[in-house]
Amino acid sequence: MRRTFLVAQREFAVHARSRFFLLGVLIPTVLMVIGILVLGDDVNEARRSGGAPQGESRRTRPADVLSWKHVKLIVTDYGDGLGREMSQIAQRAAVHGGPGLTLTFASMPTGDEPKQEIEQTLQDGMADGWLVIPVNVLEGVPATFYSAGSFDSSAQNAAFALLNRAVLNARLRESGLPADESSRLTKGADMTCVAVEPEGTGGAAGRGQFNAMVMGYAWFFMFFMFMGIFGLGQHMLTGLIEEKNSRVIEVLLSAVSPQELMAGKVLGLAAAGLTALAACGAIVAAVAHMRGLIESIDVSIVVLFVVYYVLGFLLASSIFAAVGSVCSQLKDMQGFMLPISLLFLAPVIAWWHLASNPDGLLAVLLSLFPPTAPMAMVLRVSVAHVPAMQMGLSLALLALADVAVLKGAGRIFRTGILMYGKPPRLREMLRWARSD
Amino acid sequence: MCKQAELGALMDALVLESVTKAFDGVCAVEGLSARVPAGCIYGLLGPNGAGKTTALRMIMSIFRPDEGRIEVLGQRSVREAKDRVGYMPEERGLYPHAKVLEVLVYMGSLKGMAKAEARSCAAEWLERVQLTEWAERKVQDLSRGMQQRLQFVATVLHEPELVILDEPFAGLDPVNQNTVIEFILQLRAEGRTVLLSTHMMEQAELLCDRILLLNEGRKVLDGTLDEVKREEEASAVAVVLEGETDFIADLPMVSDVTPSGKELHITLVQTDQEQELLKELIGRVRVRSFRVRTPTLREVFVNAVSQQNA
Repeated sequence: MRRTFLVAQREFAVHARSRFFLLGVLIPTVLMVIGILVLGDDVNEARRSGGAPQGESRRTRPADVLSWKHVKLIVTDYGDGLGREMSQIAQRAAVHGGPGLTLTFASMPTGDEPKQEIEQTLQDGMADGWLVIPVNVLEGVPATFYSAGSFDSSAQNAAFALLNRAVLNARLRESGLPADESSRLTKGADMTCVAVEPEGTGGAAGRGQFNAMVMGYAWFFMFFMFMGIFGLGQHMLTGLIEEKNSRVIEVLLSAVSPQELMAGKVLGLAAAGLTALAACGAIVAAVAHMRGLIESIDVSIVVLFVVYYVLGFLLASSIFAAVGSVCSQLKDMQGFMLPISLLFLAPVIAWWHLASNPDGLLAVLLSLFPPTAPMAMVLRVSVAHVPAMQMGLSLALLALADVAVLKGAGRIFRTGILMYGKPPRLREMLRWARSD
Repeated sequence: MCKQAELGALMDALVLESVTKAFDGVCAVEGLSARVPAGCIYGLLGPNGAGKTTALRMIMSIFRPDEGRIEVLGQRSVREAKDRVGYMPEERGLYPHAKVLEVLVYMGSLKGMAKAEARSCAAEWLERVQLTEWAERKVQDLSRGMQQRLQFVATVLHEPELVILDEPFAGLDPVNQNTVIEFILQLRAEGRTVLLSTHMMEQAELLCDRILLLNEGRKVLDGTLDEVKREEEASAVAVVLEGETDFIADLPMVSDVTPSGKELHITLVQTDQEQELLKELIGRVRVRSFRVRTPTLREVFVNAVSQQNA
């Protein structure tokens, strides 16, 4: 055990100084930080407007009926001051914590093609929508809303809600009701929203959402596994081949058993991977905290993430150690790398299919098959509810595979580590793995 | 110098009994039995491909024998005595990109030394082998001779009771060969057992107390240097001749002819053929001197191998 620890310690130091480690930390971190900075507003908006993370309760007030993201509207008002009424309602909503709304008043363009001028204004980004309020709107004459080429529901909803409230207020005033009575009659009910989740399904289960934040977990995980396999895993392989070619391996084997050597290498690599994960996680958490998104990070998913990462990484690095032991040259290694990488990275290839069909047969199978389970399962729990039975089975199969592969890889390593020349065939390696 | 290892009162540091190892049906070592007494320098000799390295790797448990038993320092396997054994393989191996001192500390730690102890012993050894200035340099920056000395230090740093050296003189210039010879003699003086594999007979003759000659995986000779030479004594003849001597190498009773100054050293195929040789020589050249002599280890080696191959 002591020797295994010493080998692991050295392997960790070697990996932690490598450029693969640096890239393994930097690339996912930079991508995640960019994601948080770019998507942070959307996530906050989603939280405010009901797409909040599970378990969060919030109270809605009447002003929240008019909740929208920051919208810029141009209003042409022929309707006896309804535009001003809309502006006052928007200001009151802002005082009560509602999001921003800018109303600009303008006359209808007077050119030959007023509609085209409106479209041009919107396409230039001057506003999200243009509302034209006709003269007899209180009698039921419809208003007209122009939006930019793409359909923008938030701008349309904001315009519709504001106009509706302004028309209602105007009609109440016409009926002669006192202002207090009008206010009482139009006050909406309070409502507390609670996201209900099936028991024991973990963090994101039951959300059924496909927004940026939940996908962030899966992307983050995918990058880490990817960097681990292509970066640190390959680094271990090249290190092993170098040890073989420089004959260090024979000196090492005079001090440690092949099993101790392999276990040390695998543990050292896993420790380097976990350190990269921790470093990246800490930076991402700090940035998320600064952006006010720390509450959006689901602890149960993070725990699941770490468990799958460790188990998946152990599986991959055991296979790499076995492969590295039978290779004498880098080109031998490349022949093995492609099928192994494909085996582990299959969920990346099927990413969109899995994300849109998280409960489909392929998703279930990939999340149970040990090499693909880490990526597939983290993706599934990010976007859908995964039954506890499937989760438990997936973890159990992965843990069993770790034990079996570690044992078999140790046997291959023992035989292959002093072999030079052409690497053996897969069938031969499997025979070694079974032999005692 | 670091404290000397407490050596046990072992009779035999190493015992091999009927050890056999084959690769893909080809026998590398066959039924090898030997006893290496504690405290001696034991030479494992043989031509290239004789099975020396395979035998050493089995002793180090790097390979498992197909048959037979190996006992190291009283233990049933070297795995139980790894910290008491130092092994220098034929093809030297140190991390080329690591620093000299760092490598020694790592190797010492793997052999059971505390890191601080390994560091201080390594510093002492580096001074002894004149590599102190290179302690913080990378291994790949060292010359071949320096790397050889460093490898030697890595092998003995943890003060092993049994030191196994596979071809320690390979690729070294005479100066570095002498340095290694001095180190090996020092190990014996400290009471350690040295198992030395080589095909360089001059060095083996200079160093070894006992030898085992291996050819094609089988033991050919085994014993003290004197015993082995005595066995071959009657087959070694030194002559001074006048006339054409090229025919001697073709005589059926001659296995080897080597000029040595004015003399010719002739090795006979069998021990009782000196009269037969003399009769042949008298008939064809003038014999000025004819004496039976003690053969060199090289002659013993060549003779034994050629007899077996015949």
